Amino acid sequence: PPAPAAPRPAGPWRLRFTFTGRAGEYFGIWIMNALLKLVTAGLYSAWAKVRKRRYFFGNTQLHGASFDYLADPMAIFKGWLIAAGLFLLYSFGSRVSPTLGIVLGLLFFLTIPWLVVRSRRFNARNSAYRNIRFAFRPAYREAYVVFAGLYVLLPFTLGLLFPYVIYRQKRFLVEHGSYGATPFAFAATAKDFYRLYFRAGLGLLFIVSLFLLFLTYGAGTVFVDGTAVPTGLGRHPGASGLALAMAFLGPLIYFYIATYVQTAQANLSWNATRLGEARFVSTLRTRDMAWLYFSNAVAVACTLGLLIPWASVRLARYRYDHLALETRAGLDHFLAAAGEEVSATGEEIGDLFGIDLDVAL
Amino acid sequence: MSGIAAGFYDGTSSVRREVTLAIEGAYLLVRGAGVDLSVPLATVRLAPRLGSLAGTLRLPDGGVCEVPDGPFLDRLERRLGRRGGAGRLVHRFERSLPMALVALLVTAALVWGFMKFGIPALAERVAFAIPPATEASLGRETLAILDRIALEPTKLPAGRRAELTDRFRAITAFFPAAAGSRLEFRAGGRIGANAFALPAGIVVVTDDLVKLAANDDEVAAVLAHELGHVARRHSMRHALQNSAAGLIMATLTGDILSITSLSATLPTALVDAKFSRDFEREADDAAVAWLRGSRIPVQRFADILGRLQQEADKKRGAREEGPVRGYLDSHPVTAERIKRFMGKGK
Repeated sequence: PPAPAAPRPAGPWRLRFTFTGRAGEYFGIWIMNALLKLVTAGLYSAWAKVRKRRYFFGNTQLHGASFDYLADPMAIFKGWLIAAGLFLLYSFGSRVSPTLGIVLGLLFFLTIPWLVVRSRRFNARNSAYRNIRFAFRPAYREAYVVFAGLYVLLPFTLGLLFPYVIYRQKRFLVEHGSYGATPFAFAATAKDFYRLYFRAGLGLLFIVSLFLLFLTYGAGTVFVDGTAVPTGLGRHPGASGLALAMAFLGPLIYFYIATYVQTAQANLSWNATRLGEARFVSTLRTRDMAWLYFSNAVAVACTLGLLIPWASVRLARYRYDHLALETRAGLDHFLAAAGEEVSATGEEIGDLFGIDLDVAL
Repeated sequence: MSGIAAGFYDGTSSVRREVTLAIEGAYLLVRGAGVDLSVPLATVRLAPRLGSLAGTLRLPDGGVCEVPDGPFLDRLERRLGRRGGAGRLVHRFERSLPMALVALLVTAALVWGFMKFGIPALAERVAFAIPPATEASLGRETLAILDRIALEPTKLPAGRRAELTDRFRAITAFFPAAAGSRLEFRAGGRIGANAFALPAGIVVVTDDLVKLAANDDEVAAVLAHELGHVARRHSMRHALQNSAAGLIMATLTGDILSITSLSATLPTALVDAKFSRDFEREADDAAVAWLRGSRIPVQRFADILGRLQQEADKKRGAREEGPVRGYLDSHPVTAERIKRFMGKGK
């Protein structure tokens, strides 16, 4: 149902996000981006990226207004040049001497927390809604704690610290952000993240033990060439059939559990995000997401990439259709904050090295 | 000029105001509840248009008007359009289906052409420009890896090795571009009878191949073939081409999920097979040229290749040679290769 135009004093409203992008329209933008990137040997990629982001931001609507991506392609292009230089240095260095490559790689690794902050800051600063920009307060020391320091402790805790690390990262990314002068707040606790990973671990354990049980005791029968044979490890040909099924099902189940973790984490993080009195409501479902990822991958692979625009639009539509903002006070009271320009270097360096810095919640 | 309904945001608060926009002379009029502005058109900026998104009109005092896509926006764009001609062209192309199809075809043709001609040409230049020290370390590393995973120390007697090394030196004289190359003997293990050229002119020949050869001329023919690879820097070029082709595909398809990377690797694999076929032919030609220069019958080369193929077929259980194999096999079907250079030898 359409959201009310003006807030009334009674109960909170659920303002829905909608995504109005169309695959056919995006295809034109995508193919022109590809072509121009190609004929300019990649130099156009900064402009391509801005056009792509602007298309997805501009088609994301909330309460009758759309989001806006304002980055200057020229700023991204400068970052791209620096990143390209570093990349050449790295690839040449690792060819001349593998040790140098490892040292450079390590150095790059150490800059990741800095890159995360820079990229987050640049993108926040260049995102706007209703002509009010977002912002991200840099906190480099905390970034080094949550994106580097805590990882060092992981082996000593047998990995049990992992949910806590993820929790701290999500909290860091949300808490330092703001919309205009209004900061975001993060209401989830470490316990919520432990519960999520405990469930995923339990699922994994259950399935693994089920398979082990099947294989060791040969509990059932399998039809081989029309005759029923009891299964059991190595004793009958049926066992190889079961092993085959496991080899096929194993990755699928792993994929499903990974999708669960990602989806549940997105829901948890969004639902814990507050903006003043307003709170987000995310209702993504694991089975929908798994199906989207799976069918997208098949479609893209079968068309040698031609359905990439369709797949991207489809995913964005699902994501935004399941996101809403619950508010009592409406969206008219947010004020802008004074801001400064932020360079795009961090964002581009990460991009060229294949790190997804567009950290989604 | 008639007006149009638009949204207005002043940039200091998130309140949306419904306004009517109109152009009057050289001024843009913004009128609505609590808003009454008259802004010189020369100071108004329209963000580059994209798809059928609403236009974002920036006013000099920081205000923004969200103007729905349509004829008014087109007119406004024309009135403001002194700059950004290229951007407008891109926008027009993006919105037209025929142009999108043309762009698709041109993109496909460019990718194909670049893979087929551009990358090999670039890789050739780079391969010959790489510092010898770099190539030497690369060759050393490659051999070390092969030694670890596939090859074993040779069991040929030292005398036999010395004989063949002398023969190898003699052949090297015929290939000035392969000066400084050296011969390495190894037991092939699972690889069986084979020979290959690594970066920095390292030619490896397996014990099995030496035993498989009916006479030393046959071994020499294979060595000449490998030196042909060395002289043309094939292994270096192959490595460069692979990484370049991968890089191009990654750039093009970079904006998809990693689980869809299959579409990025498949074309590379197909193109890659083609690279190798051209290289094999070049090396064959080099071997034939040496054989003729040394007055050794070209048939010797055909003999050893045929025997190598038989050996390989025995190993693989003599798979059928369907049409698909012609594309995916990284070696051109041996019979076809032999027929080609035997035709040349006459």
